[in-house]
Amino acid sequence: MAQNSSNKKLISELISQSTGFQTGEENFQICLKYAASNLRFHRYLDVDRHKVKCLLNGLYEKFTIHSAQPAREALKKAVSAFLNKPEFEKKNAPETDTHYSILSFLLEMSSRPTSQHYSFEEEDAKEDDINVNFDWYKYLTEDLDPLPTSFSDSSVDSEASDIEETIIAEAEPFVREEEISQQVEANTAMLRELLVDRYWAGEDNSLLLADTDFAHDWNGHLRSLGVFESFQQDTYMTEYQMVREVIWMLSGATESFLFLYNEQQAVFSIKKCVNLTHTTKTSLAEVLIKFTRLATKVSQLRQFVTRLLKGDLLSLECQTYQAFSVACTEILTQLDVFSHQLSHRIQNGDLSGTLISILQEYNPYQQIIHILHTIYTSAICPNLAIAKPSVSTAATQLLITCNSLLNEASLQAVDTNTLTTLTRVFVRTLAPYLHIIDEWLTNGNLNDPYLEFVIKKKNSKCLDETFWDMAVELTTCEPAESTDRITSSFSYNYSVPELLKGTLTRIAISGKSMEMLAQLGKVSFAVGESNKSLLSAFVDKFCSGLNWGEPKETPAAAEGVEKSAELTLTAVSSAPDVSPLLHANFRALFEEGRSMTPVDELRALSGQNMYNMVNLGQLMSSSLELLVEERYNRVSQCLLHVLKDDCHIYYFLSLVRKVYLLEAGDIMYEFLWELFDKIRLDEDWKDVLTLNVGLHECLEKHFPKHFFRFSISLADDVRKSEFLPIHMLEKFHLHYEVDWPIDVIYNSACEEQYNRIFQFLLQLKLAKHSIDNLKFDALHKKLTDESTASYDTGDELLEKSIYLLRMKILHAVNSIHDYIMTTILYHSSQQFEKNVEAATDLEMIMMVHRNYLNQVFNRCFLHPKNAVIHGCLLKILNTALIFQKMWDSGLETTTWTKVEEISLSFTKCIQILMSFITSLIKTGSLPHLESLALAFRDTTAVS
Amino acid sequence: MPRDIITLQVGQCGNQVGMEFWKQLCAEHGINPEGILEDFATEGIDRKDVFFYQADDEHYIPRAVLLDLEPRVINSIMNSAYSNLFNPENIYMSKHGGGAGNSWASGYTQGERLYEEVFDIIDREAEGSDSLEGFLLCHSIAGGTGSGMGSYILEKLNDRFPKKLIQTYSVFPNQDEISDVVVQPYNSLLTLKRLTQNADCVNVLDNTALHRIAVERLHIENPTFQQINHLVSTVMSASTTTLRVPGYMNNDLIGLISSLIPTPRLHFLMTGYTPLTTDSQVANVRKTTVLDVMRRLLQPKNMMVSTPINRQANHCYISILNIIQGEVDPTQVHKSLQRIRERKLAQFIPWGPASIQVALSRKSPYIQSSHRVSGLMLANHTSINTLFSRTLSSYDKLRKRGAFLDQFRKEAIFSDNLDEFDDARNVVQMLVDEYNAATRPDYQTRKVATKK
Repeated sequence: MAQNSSNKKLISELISQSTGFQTGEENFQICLKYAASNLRFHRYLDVDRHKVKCLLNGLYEKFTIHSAQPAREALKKAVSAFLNKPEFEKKNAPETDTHYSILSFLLEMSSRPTSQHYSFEEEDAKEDDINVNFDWYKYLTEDLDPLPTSFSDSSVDSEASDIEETIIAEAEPFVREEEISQQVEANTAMLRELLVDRYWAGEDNSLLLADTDFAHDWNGHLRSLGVFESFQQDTYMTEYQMVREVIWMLSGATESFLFLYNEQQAVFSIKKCVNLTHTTKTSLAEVLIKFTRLATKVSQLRQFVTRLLKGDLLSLECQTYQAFSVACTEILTQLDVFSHQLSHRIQNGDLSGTLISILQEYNPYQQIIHILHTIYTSAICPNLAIAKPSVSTAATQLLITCNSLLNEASLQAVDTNTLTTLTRVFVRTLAPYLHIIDEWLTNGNLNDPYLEFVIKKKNSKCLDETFWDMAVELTTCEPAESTDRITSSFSYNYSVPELLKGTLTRIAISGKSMEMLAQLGKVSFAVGESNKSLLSAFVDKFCSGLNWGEPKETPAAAEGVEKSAELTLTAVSSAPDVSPLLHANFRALFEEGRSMTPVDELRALSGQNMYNMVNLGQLMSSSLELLVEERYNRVSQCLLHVLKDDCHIYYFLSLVRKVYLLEAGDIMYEFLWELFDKIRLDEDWKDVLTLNVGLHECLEKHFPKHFFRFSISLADDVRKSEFLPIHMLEKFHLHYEVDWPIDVIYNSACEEQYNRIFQFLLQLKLAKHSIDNLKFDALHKKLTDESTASYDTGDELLEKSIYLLRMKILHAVNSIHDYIMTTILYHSSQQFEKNVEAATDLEMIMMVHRNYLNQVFNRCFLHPKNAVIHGCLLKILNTALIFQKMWDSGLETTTWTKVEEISLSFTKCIQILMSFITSLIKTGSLPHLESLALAFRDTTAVS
Repeated sequence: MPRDIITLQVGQCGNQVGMEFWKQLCAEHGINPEGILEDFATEGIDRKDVFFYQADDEHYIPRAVLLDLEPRVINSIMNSAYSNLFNPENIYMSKHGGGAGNSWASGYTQGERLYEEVFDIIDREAEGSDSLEGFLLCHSIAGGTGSGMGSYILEKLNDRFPKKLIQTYSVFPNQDEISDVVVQPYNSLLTLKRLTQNADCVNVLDNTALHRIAVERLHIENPTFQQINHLVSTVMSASTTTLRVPGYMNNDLIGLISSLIPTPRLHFLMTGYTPLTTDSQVANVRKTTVLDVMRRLLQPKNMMVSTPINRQANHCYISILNIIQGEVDPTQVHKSLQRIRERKLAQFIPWGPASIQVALSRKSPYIQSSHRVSGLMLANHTSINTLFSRTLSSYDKLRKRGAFLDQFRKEAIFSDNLDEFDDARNVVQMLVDEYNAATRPDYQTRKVATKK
């Protein structure tokens, strides 16, 4: 368009001529612009090669549709021959504009190419070849039917077909021997009925049976007649047909010609006597068997899903199963879509329709279906067989299997897609569990309608000391086990999903803590800042752990959990083809130590073997662990805080120690002093009322708010083979009443132990009190009444020996006292306080308390195995009481024999005690004992 | 449970020592000189009611009776910041204010004369306490009032309160210096008799040793009375710490002393304290551990009783109680005891069981101390009899010449004869002999002395 100006002139002339607009008018300008642009940018009136080609292609297709393949071929051949002739435009090139112009012209000229009849030289082309390359059914239904996404009704969809070739294949057996003529006629009628005429040929078409495969129906018909029962003959099929049947089968069609379906077990098998013209039977069977296997798995999975949906599995109904079935459905749907696309591609000729290539196409699905099916058979089937399955076992088993298969897959380095899909399935299946945990840990609500969670509530409404121990239990525990304490006996057998193993204790503790908080009405304290659900947080963490980057979450963070999780999942599945993980694994294998990703570095540093680097299970559990840990910390801290501030737990515990273990010394001593004085003076002290009043009086001064919680009762009788005066204190029973949250720690078992210790301390204190308060004057009491003259040397010696005995007993009692008070109580309580400070959750506090109590209990020799030592100690203490009686009665009534008797028995006791203690020290069981032994060594050294 | 203790301060020395003691107690309990609890001390778990009682307006008043025959010391107390601390009704000063003239006899007689008035105060105080455990007497044995009047009060206390414990903190005169009190040996001897017979427990504070410690350990060239008294008050407060701060151990006085005293007469205790510092010596490079403290306590130079350097080999400990204050791990105690035993750092009596007993106690949170651990030793050691035999020998010297007996004869107790002197000498001699006997293995079978 170089001659712009001349063109313009011509154009304006043309416009004014044709339209009558004058230059200057608005319309004229518009016309001018239009014309100019047309001239500039289009080859005005030139022939368009592209359009011509399209037109030709359309024509080819039209011929094909009209079953005029020869015409098509002829046309094609002619066109290409023409186009390749370099005859025009003085160029030696094919396909010039002139070529196309002529073609276009010719095409315009031929008004109805399909209606014409062409005669060809090679007219003998076989008719049955015509359709080999074309899938009629697919073509016809392309835009009519929805995609066979739903497995349940897909069989119906895929059945609609009318294929005449099969008749040809099946026609042979039709010409048979002696047939009753009527039957033949009937058969023919039936065949006619089934036979579908070429629709497009415009002939009178018979009924179009939707759900029929002709040959199959024919056989079925014959079978129903019972005529050809015994007769089986090889059937020949084309590969194309087989491919089609395979695709149908995989889409869920149960009735097909090639395959037999066993309804009961949902198993596909290959019909015998089917041949392919170009393969051997074995090789065909080999290929087909792979398909049947796949189809069987698919159909079994489908069956499971359907049964679950229908509610057939009531006894096993649980969210985990449902989640799993949803995940399965998703994959099956994908498979269906894929099958459909595949058939499309075959139909479009994009894919060669051989069985092998189809098999290859299905490869990615094969693996995932296989894994799903393995999960189904190994985790679900066994439970289906049991009459009364435990839901939680079933759920856990499913999770365990999922997890282990995932681990296996990640170790085997299967392809990324499978791994991704499997991960997705697993996360899906895990979701209900995570929801339960989430609900439990955030609201203290163990909401588990199907009782599928590994932990179940035992007793919902118990607000007593057993709360902590009895609140929850492992559902899968054996009956014998469940009586044990839950946390201590969390034996990690098959009953706990791998993923939860590391965190179950924490979960249980936090859950219980939350419930406790809920009971205390303090749930709001424990609510964290993030309102992200556990599931989405878990997926986030997991993804970031995999280095897959942050999930592409849409801005609406507050959207439903499911949604965000879904998004994340899609992000996961849409991860780049080459997973960084696999990549990393590969790299690690071949160039160890060079430029690793942080994840790898972490793994490598932790000394794992390199396969573990991609252990997804580990990664999952570690990410879950982190999350649970986070929640656990928050909840525990909150609970401790509440217990500390609102329930004054430390105060109560210290109160217990002060009263039972006489820690504060004088507080209880005030009460005891009176008691001891009464005992000493042989007054009656066994009046419970007086004792209680006395106790309350002395406690009231120090603990005005809590003194009433303590009360004393006296046991009826202490049956002992040998009843010493010292034993009477064992009747003493101090009861301490605590409110709910605290009695979880201070329970009745604890109280019993405290009481035993308390009794022992009382005995000790009584002995010490008796021996301490021996006044020298008292011994001389009677003496001074008379004259001092009677004070002879014999008495002096007796007096001295009494003094010495007092010294010995005093020393022994003091040694025991110091040992118990300093080495045992003081030391233990120091440690206890330290440990309690360090405790991070209630469980730990309980444990620390229990340990502390046990330690004190043992070291006071109250454990049955130390009964001998305890007995010796009591005898020594008892000696103090006897001695005190003697002392108080005065020197006058004392005789040498009496003194010697006491002295002897005392010495004996000490010796026995020493020998026991020495042997105990040698075994090293009680290291603290040494100080006691040291003190006693002095006593024995002189006696 | 009886645990209240009434403190009696008699004489010039007794009041000075007592005053220091109360200052120390007030500081440890967080009570200000007015008797009002400091704000920081309201949460304390210590037992203030052992030595104090609360008046109607909640302020704390010491269970103390201040007695003196001359007004000088008490007046100085009443002019100090602590004037409002004490109950004025508990302060008794002799009307004529003449004092006892350093004479035991004079103090004793005046005590006798003032019996009604003095025991009115004591009775009132005793009845005012719910659970009286005993008395604590601060005095010196050399002067007039503390020894004389103190002796009389001891005798009478025993009569009036036979079941109550009587513990004394008795300051023994400095033997190195020539005293201005010439009758000191008489006074000491006569007081010793009462201490032997009427007290349950005597904590001997030897001025000789206190001076030595002040000079040697604290590096004070000329220690003042106040500095010496501070030492005494430290010991007194430490020895009562288990009573005042609740703990697992010995919460009563009787429990504290019963194990220390094997026979009625052997109740004279030595004390030792470590680490000792003065204000000028705050910077400390020492690392105090339990073992370190216990080892130091066993060294004679830390003893507040001076015994001859030439130790006869057979002198030994009858009993030891260590009160360890501070942050202590109980397991350390055991280790330290074992170590001391291995090294044979302490020689014990051969005739009976004896070992170091340890009581752990907390430190007062209100007093800043540069030491993590401090310790007090209460020990019954046979070498204490050298102190008594020294008194005996100097008494004998005076008595032989019959010196200064006139002023004694003036008083009623000696008006007829001087038998009281002989009796006292006899008692003290028996005490010395018994301590000597206690060093021998045959103590329990041997007759100590025959009564005359």
